[in-house]
Amino acid sequence: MSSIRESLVALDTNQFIVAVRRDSSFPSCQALIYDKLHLLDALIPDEVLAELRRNLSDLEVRGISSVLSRARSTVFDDESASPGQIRAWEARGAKKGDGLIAATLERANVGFFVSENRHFLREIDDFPFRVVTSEEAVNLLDAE
Amino acid sequence: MSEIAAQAGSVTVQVELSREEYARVKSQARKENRTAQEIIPALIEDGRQSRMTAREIMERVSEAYRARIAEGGQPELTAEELLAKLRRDREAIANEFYP
Repeated sequence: MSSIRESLVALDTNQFIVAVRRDSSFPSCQALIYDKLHLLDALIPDEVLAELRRNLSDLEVRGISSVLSRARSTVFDDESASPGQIRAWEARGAKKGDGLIAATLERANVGFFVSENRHFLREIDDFPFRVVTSEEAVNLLDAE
Repeated sequence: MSEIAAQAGSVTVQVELSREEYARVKSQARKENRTAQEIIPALIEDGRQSRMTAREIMERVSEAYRARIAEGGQPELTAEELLAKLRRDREAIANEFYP
């Protein structure tokens, strides 16, 4: 099994929004974004940036961009997935939005996707990348 | 007034820039469809953030977020409501990207 410290790690929108809110329901989001980003090679899909812009102010999105510069490396992935790749994931049971993310991460050869989206976890299996919650990501980082 | 000033209470200061630097600021402002007056506080904030740790930046972002939500007077979504909203946003944005 690949190491989270040695893999490209995609971060879902919910990681940043929950961390900004300091949401007590997901304390590991805060730990991951505030204190452990420097351990990650991070990838941010274009869709995640669009979702951040929809939910945060310009000032807050600029802050998130600054924080991401503290990761070991950061890729802002603006390469589009093809409609065919998205349809392939939809055929496997993904909603269109999740299929778009899955196609993007598959193309980028991501090793881990950190998300609290339990529906994403349930509706698809057999990913080419590992889907983990922030709690699992923090535990993996601490254990390695 | 900039967003930062609006959220933190504003102080007006006079800034002296070289013509070359001012041209670069105006060029950056044009790219972002903003005025030089609007973009200078954001550039100062970017410069300050470049010297901060991730934790320090996130604490500032969190304070700005909380101030904005409080100013809006809307009750904050619960964690479950937030995750549901983000799922709806994901579908909406996917449909915008791929109609």
